[in-house]
Amino acid sequence: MFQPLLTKNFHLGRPASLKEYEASGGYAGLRAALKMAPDEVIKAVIDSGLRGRGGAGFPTGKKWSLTDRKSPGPRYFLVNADEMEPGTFKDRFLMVRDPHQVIEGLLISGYATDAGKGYIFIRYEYCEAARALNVAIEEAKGAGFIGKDILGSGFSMEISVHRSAGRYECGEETALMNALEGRRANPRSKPPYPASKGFWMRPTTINNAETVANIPHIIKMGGNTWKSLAAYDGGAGTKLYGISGRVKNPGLFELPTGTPLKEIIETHGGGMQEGYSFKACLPGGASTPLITPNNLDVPMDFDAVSKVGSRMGTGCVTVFDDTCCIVRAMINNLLFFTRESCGWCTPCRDGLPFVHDILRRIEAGVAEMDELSVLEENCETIYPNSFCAFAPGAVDPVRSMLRLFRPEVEEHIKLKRCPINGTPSPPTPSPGGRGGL
Amino acid sequence: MSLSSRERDYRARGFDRCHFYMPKLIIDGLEVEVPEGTNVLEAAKKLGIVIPHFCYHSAMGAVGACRLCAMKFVEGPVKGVQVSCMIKAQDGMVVETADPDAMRARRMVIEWLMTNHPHDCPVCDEGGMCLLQDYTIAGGHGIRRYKGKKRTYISQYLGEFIEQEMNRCIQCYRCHRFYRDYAGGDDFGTKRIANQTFFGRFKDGWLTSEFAGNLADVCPTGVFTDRTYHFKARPWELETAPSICPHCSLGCNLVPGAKLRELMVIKARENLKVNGWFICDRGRFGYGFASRHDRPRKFVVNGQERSRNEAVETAARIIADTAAKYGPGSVALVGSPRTSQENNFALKKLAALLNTGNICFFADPSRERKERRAASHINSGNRRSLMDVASSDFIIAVGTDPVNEAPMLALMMRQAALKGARIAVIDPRPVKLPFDFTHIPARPEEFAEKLTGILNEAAGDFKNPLIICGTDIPGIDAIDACSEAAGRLNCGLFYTLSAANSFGAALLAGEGPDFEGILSGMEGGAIRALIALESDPLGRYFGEERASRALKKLDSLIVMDYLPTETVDATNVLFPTTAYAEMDGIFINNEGRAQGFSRAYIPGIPVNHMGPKLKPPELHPPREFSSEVPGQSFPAWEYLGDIAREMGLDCCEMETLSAIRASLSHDPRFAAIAGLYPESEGALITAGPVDRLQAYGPFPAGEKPDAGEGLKPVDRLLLYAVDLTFGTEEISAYSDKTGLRAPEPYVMINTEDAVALGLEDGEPVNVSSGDISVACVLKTSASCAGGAAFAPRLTGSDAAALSGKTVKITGARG
Amino acid sequence: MLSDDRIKELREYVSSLEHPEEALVDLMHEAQSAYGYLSDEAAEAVADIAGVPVIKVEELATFYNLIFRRPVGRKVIFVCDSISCWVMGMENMFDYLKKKLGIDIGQTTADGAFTLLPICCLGACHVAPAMMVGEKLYGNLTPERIDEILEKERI
Ligand SMILES: Cc1cc2nc3c(=O)[nH]c(=O)nc-3n(C[C@H](O)[C@H](O)[C@H](O)COP(=O)(O)O)c2cc1C
Ligand code: SF4
Ligand code: FES
Repeated sequence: MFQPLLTKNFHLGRPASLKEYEASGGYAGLRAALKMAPDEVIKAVIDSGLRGRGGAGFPTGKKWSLTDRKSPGPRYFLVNADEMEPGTFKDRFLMVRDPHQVIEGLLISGYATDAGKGYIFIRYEYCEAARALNVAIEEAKGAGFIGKDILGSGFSMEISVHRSAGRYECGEETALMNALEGRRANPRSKPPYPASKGFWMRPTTINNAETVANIPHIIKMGGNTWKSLAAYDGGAGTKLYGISGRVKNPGLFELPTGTPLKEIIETHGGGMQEGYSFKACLPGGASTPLITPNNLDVPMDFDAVSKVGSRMGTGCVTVFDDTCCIVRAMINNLLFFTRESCGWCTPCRDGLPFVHDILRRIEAGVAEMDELSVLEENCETIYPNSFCAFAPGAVDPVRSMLRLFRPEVEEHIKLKRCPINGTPSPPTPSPGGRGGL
Repeated sequence: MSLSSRERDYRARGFDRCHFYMPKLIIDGLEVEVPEGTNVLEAAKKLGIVIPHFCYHSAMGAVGACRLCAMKFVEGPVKGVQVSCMIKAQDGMVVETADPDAMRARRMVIEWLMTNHPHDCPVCDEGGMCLLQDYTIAGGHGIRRYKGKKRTYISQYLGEFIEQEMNRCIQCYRCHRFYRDYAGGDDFGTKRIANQTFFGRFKDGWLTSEFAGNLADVCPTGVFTDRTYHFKARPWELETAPSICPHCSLGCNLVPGAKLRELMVIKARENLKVNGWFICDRGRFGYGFASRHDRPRKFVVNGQERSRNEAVETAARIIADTAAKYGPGSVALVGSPRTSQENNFALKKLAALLNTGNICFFADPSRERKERRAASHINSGNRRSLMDVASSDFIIAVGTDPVNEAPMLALMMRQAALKGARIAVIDPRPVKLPFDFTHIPARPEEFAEKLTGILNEAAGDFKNPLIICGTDIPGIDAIDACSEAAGRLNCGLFYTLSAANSFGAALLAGEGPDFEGILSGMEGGAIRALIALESDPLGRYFGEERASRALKKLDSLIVMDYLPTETVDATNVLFPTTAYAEMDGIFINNEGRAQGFSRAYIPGIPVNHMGPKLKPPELHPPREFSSEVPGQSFPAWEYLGDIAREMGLDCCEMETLSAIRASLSHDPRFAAIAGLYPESEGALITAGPVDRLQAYGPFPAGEKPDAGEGLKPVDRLLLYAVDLTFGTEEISAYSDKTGLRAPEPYVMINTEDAVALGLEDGEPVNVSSGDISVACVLKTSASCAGGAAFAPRLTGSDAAALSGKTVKITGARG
Repeated sequence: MLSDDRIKELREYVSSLEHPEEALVDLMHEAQSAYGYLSDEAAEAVADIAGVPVIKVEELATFYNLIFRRPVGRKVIFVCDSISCWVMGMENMFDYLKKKLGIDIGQTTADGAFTLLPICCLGACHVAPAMMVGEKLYGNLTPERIDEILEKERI
């Protein structure tokens, strides 16, 4: 039987208290880690094969080993709990159901990377999660897990929760550092890399909240054991998969990494609701390319999903049913990115509104066929030429639409209306016009 | 990172990488070698391959925001289409600029930038001097494919210097990066997000940075333009020439532009030894003096307009008669640190021909002493250019308030500060600078001691230490102490002087009396005729009373000037002269760098001041046509030559500008001038042994306040007349636009002194000494040194005449 | 308005920080709740407490979507308009809310109770469509449920 790790306290339906967390084996990982040398902790994480859960899947152990632990501190460890990728709701659950798990993970991560100060960067909308984290931090301080000379190990770490004020771009790691420093959240150029010059130009390591929450388990079980929990050879450990859209049982599930997409949707998500059939899905948030029915067997893991032309992203699947106009879906998606672009670089700031406009014209039935090539040219040029990974993520689903749903798109143009909804949609707020709030 | 074999080879041979390692790369099949750290965009430029770019600027570096400078990297450590500004040139790189993917990226970036552009080029003040226009053509974007709505903005009112039209913005962030990062302004920034991103202030209002005008130059399109020049001309109508700023001693390079005889715009010109790429707002907006309605435009003899010949004849007769009657010494001449070196030199020639020793070049005797002393201290070992200031790692500034006295110096000091330089300023004023520094409030008599104190602690630890010293409030002792310390500790030495050609004037000054001596001569009746060359000796430094008394004693006053000064008003014979943009000439800046400037336009009454019987004068175009330039004026050296010729003196060395220069360069100190041409980086001039002897000669002391028995210390505050960025510098003070930023006359004292006097901040007061009394407003500041008072030498105020005197400040509320 | 005592406390807190700029976002949140929105006056107060030029506050305030530089109602209704909620019919919820409140997106009801704004994914996709009223999250929206919620949240 598969034993849940990350979600074992989720059944409480509220934040697990320190007592409950400790009763379920909490802080044993921290105790164990503090007895190991930092390099041994890093080794365990390397062995575990853990890959970042923020979306890009960078090997976590490798990231830690790159952190500059030689030059004088202070050093920082940042937890990215910004979670604004549409369709994604895993980090919120982790923080509102088991906040200590994230804190313990952060403490161990800080110990391994010799960081004396940890920040949890959380979006403002997550009020409940922020409250739960702050309560947990107080509890942990009281128990001597946070502060000076933790558990007599000589290691000291302070932790604070930073509540942001919106904007998706804050989740990009270097933009996040700027945001924390009280600057506008534009990304920074690399080099210098955060590992040597990050937050306040000091060595900094940054990981997603789920990534960090895995660490205590890896330490307790040993990297290799944790790795073997995966559902297929290439994978490692367990993963939080979310599912939303018109399925019978939308929700969040902890499953062995590499569980096939089909199983997630049909078994755990309960399959499509009555009267709806599966059209396509975004496998891991709004910035991942579409997956169509013929690729549903793919194991949900970074490399496997890449092989079928998409990305696993955050692992939270959004399902489109057959009543969804794919053009309209992409308009919605692109409007999000257009609005959230940080405004730093041209392809994203001014290219995305262009793409959005053509999509709207197609859906409204006023576009000509040759605008498709303009759309394509825009997407293909935005994709490789932006400053950060935001813009590629914005156009990737549109590119996949042009690849996978070209006939449906062309039909809009030929019929001069939407073949699914018939009438053109009421106008979505346009990115043009005078600036709003 | 692994080393290339070439680099390894260099290191194996023991070379210091920074100095000798030059990466070599291939761009479009051409090999190029550049200094390490150069980006590929610059490397391509070196080959003459100019790839469009907006956000990159040599001064502000690369940030990779516009994404326009894409190139294809085919071989080497980086691969694929990349923005070339963000990539440092490295050995083994093979780069293609004409790769189809790179070209497509560049074309699309332009297309994106143009989606929201208002296409209002016909009414845009860039008038085609627009990078966006150039690159739109270069990128091949001609047909609009974006069919959506354009985003629009409401622009802000940013004061009378800079106009904003945000709809033209392409979000290159240059304005923010210049204003905030390069210049340290704190009232302008980036607002909003995505394609609503806006650059502006918190609320409408004047930009407060003294360097705000550069926004007009750094903005690659027409968002920020020079408001003072709005809708006046198109660039191709302008008459321009490479020129040098006349508004302080730093000698920043600029380009004045005039249309129909009206000087109407100033742009910065690049000189990597002096101002880099920028100029200050005094230099940019202080041009209005040239087109004043009351500017001297006519030859006048005793109140009557006369021809040039008549004026020359009269002047010659006056001089000859006076000399014949009272001896050659009865004719005195005063030149000026604000006129060209050639003009001053011609004046000196004339004095020699007249055989009078009564010639000086400074109307302010105290300033003359100090500037001659300072100029004599500069030598090839300690000389530092303005750009060198930016690479100093330790700066100690003595008795200078850079933003107010030499604004661009503050900008360069900021660049040093940004690179981590430690900076201290020893000055009694509450000096404000756009960066962090240590302010040591001290009275001028304590300067030398404080300087030694700091230097003993620190200077040895630095590679490029620099001592900056003012020549306004420091005394000779401090000026000498700075030079002495610089020599002892091997520091750079940088004096700020009073005017564009102070250094040149200082080196021409001989053994004659200073203007105090000449004034005494006038008062005593020994001097009967005075020739003032672009100098206003009676307007500023001696108080109205004394000046007019001395003037009355004079038989005749001959004035050559282009400013409507107080001296001009009293003149017998007036010669209208040319401003810097209207003539060829040389200024020698504070470091001894001689720089040439050229005539941009033929001076005369601006066409828009004309229009017979048509009022108001702005009416345009003129209704009378003539091949004569109405109100044409000529450089002063021509008049001086004319007078000599008229008197039958041997004037062959004053006949033409090249004759004057040739004669000047016979003096070994000025030999370098022979090879000078406009748009060069300039020629370095060093004082000779003559100056040193002269300058070290016995000068009257008289700078210490007398103790004054039985008085409270606050009853005898020592007053210093000081400069402000706007309103005190002699030439720009006659300009309407900079005048808008000049304050009302005030006097500033320490807060505690004010309490002791029973006076409050903002209160109207009288400041008096002897028979001079000035009405102004009191300002108090806790960071102002006690025992001293500071008053800006605003034109029209007698503050300058009180300088160096102990004053009494009394409430004027009645 | 921030009380003088609170301002004093905040000043002390800010001066205890190594980098006072880190407090800017928190200060903006606090000033916003004290003033109702980040008015000019509130922005200036934040700048003053943090010891930074007010343009720095403005740069952040106008960057973030949860700092309001214009007046808003006593509560802001944030309706998720991201992709999962779109699939589940968020457009209908918007229409319903607009009709019910008699305002358009970005507007405030006449009684000053609610301002209606879109927001990106609230992390409640499994209960889409979702919205947040003030600081409270609501999922599985239907017109009936919206009626109930508005009733409850109206103050
Ligand atoms: C536009 C953008 C938004 C992002 N938002 C998030 C986010 O909300 N949460 C997150 O954990 N990572 C986010 N990321 C990924 C982070 O940049 C970074 O890769 C991640 O935090 C690293 O952690 P990991 O290695 O544990 O995944 C975002 C990246 C981009 C380009
Ligand atoms: S792609 Fe450019 S504009 Fe978009 S978020 Fe990244 S840096 Fe900002
Ligand atoms: S898409 Fe609406 S809560 Fe996620």
